[in-house]
This record gives sequence, structure tokens and C-alpha cells, in this order.
Amino acid sequence: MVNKLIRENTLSNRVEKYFRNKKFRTCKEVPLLSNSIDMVAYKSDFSQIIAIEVKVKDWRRALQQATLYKLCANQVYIALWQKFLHRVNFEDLKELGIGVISVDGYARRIVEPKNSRIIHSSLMRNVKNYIAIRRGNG
Amino acid sequence: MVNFQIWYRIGIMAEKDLFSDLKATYDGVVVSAHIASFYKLAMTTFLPSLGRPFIVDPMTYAFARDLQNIKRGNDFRKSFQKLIDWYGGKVKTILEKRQLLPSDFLKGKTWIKDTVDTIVKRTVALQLDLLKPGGPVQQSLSEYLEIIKETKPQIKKPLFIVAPYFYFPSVSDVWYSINLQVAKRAAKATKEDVFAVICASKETLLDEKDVRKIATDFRRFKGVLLWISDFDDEKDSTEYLAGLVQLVHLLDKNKKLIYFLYGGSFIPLLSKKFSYLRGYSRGICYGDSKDVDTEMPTGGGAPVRYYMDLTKTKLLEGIARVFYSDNPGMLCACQICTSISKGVRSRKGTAAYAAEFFDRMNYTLTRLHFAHSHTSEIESISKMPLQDILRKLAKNTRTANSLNLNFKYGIQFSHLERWKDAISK
Repeated sequence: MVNKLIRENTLSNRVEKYFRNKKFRTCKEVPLLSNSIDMVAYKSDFSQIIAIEVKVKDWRRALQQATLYKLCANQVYIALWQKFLHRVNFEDLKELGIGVISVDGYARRIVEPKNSRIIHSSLMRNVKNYIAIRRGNG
Repeated sequence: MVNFQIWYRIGIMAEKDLFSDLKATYDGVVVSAHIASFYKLAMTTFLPSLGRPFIVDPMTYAFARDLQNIKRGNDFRKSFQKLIDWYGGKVKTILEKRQLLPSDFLKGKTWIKDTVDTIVKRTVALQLDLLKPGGPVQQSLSEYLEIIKETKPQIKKPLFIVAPYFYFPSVSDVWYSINLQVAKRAAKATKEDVFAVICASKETLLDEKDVRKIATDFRRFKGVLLWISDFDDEKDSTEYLAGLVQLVHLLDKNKKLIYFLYGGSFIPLLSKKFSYLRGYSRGICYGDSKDVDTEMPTGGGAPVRYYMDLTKTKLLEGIARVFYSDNPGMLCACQICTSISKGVRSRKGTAAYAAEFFDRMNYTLTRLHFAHSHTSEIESISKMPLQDILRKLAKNTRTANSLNLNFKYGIQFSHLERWKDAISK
């Protein structure tokens, strides 16, 4: 039997739906220094910024990316395909304060993130400005 | 004990001011031949103004690789065109059609005088003539500068002449013989000291016979410049490091000076074992490793990278921001970082402090930080006995482990252990 991988875009759309249901707005591919954040979920008054790294299976790679997001977001998640979730070391993720979203037919939170204690306000401002401009452009 | 020397390579002329500002942090300057020929007039005042010895990298290897590396679109980059014009004659005619091939130098067992002579004589002449006042504009400019005491142009010649050179994938490759031949002829073409270049593949390091042959064949020169294409001391396995140590060991036994054309922080450590290894050249915060087949840099667009002494690696800005926010007490205390810190208003030891610190950091400052920390590093290596250096590498590994650098920040440090192993053997 062919073991087909789900597309990252499909996961991303399901994560987007999850946050929209929780009254967040979303913005994909938000620049951060020389990287970009897969998705930012935010309250319309920017009182809360959540950064999400979406990966099908490579949770370590996702973690490396997500670590950077702590600089500009109140909370950070990695979203992974449910099928590869058994590979994740949840204890390490908890220690790092990074949340986990499992995605299958729909997305659900399985590890709650801690609030980032290393927000660099200049970088958070850049993220907000970028989103505001994108929003303004419709 | 002679200190290990740092020679910085001028990548683009826009770095001129950086070189002037950092004079106290390096021992010499390397100028690539295409830059030297394109900016000849500027060089006549700039190089003497630094008050440091210089050498010219002839860059001839680039003529025997894919020419697209030195082109923009269909045309040669202006600086390389200028260099090709300098060679002129048959070399220029060939390069207008294709890259240089072994058959341009050697037919059967006979050397083709025309090409060999042009390459040798023009390469040597370029270096000897670089600071000679040429046209009337240049002459009056240097006279004027002397009158107004703007510069003291004592340094008129490179410290030594670098022979033309070509990359060889193995010693059995015909380019090896060509490389050796042009170097021998260059040594005969001038009374100045001539250094030959060993520009080899990494794989050469894995063959003990090849390594021995290179060391034997190159012992006739006053000194050698080493460039192992694509060798990366942070990533390469112990067997490559061991091969390099063996090559330097054998060259050192020849009692001829050795410099590296490119290299990372492993190279200065090696100088503790081999007294004829005198220095290395590199870019300021780049150019630790270079492949002969990479396109020539054009400048601009380089990301901000912050040098971390603990792992001897350069961290991308985002990673540096996260790491130093978690560990603000570990921020560097070099002259540059200290002066940036003075302007930071947030409370010391907090993440906000690190945030403000990196907000103030920019591309140029990270390079200044690198140069200053690297100089201190070399000074401390010069003072420390080898055993202490090995202990320090082990200590840095333990610290990096305890900080969980790899898992938490994706910062690699396993090379420290490999370096220790390679040097201890």
C-alpha cells in the first residue's frame, strides 16, 4: 500500500480553521529576520500574537524554527500531522514552552504553550506592522 | 614564539573603510587579482595607507573552471574582464571562447611555451607592478599624497609573490603537474620570494600517498599557500581533519612557511603543533570555507551573523537573539559589544537587554565584533600551551552540552570534539 504524505498546505488550512473558530485572525508567511513564520494567529486588536510552525513530520526541524518565533509572539506552537506525533518528545517541548497542535481531519491542541519571556519588542512590532499592511491591502 | 597571523581578504572595495577601521586587528591583507587590477589606482593609495603587508591572490584557477562563475549573464564581470585583458594574447583569446584546458598548457610531454609563459610572467608582473605608479595621474596622485602627508607609502611590494595556480582533484590529474610547473617557472621568473599554491580537493586529504607526494613536490618553494576546496572545519569528519593535519605536518617538516588561503578556527589551533604554519587568510566574518566552483561574491545581501566564541561559530541573528535572551550573562565583552552595551537602557541580564543589544547590532558591527573577538582569541591561543587549548576545547564542549545548544537552538558544536581529537593525535 502506498503510504501517502499529507500536503503541508492542507495541514496549514486546518490549523487556520482551528484558530478562526477561536476568534483569531490569521496571516500566513510572515517575515521574521531572514526567515518567515508559517502562520500568525492574532486578535484583531493585536492583544495576542500566536506563531505557528507547520510541518508534516519533522518535529525537530519545526522546533528549531519555532524557537525563533518566541522573539515576536506571545505563544508559539508547532503543528504536526497526527500520524507522526508519536515521534515527538513532549517533555522537551513542554520544557521549552512550545505548544503542540495535532492535525488530522481537523486540528486540536494537545500541549498548551507557555507565554514567551523573550519577546523582542522591535521584532513583534515588525510582525504587527506587516500584518496591518497586508490587512490594509485586503 | 611567533604569533599566528590573521590576513583578511578584501572581498569588495566597499569594505575599504572596514579595513581601515580594523587595522589593529589583523596582520596582513589579501587582494584578489581581479579586484587589484580593476581598482589599481585606488590600491596605490589604499594598501600603503593600511600599513600592513599585503599579497595578491592571482585567482588563475577561475580561468580553468566554469567561466559562468566569473560572468554576469554572457559577459565577464568587469573586474575579471580587466584581469583577462591584463593577460592578453593567447590566454585572452581562449577565454573569450572557453575555459582553459590542460591541452592549452601541455601537448603530450611538451609544455606550450606561449600559454605557460603568459600565465607565469603576467601573474608575477601584476603583483610586482600593482603599486608602481603607472600613468601620469597615478604618479601625480602619489606625489601629492606624499606632499600632504596623507599617507606613508613605504609598502611598495607584496610580502611575497603568489604563483599562478590551478585546482587539482588528485595528484594523478594533469592539473597537478600544470600547477606545479607554473609555480616552478614563477619562482624562476623573479628574484622575489615566490609561494606556490596547493589548491586541492578534499578527497586528496584521504589518500596518504597523495599527501606525501604533495609535501615532497612542494618543498622546493619558499613557502606554500593551502586551499583545500570546500573543506569546512565545522562540518567535515575527523578523517578529513586528520588528513589535513598530516599534510600540514609533512609541509612543516620541510621547514617552509605555510599559510592557509581560507580556513576556520581550527587552523589557528593547528599552529600550536606546527611552527611553520604562520597564518591564514579569510574574509571578515565570512570565507572560512570556499569551493573552487562557487560563483564569485558580488557583495550585499549577506545575513547578519554574530560570532560566538564558545562554539567558534557564527550564529544567524534570530538564533543569537534567542540564545542571548535566554543567557544574557553570556554576551560578549569585546570592545565592540561593550560599546554597544553602554547604550542599552534595559536592565542588565534580562531578555529586554539582549533585545535592545541586538536592535543596535547591524551587519557592520557584527563584523567588527568578529574581528575584535578573533584577535583576542588568536592572542590567547598564542599564549596557551597546547594541553591547555585541548582542555579548553573539552570545557567548551561540556558547557555547550549543559546549555543544550544543539537541541534548544540548533547550534552545532560537535566539531570542537573533532578538533580536539585531530590535534591530539
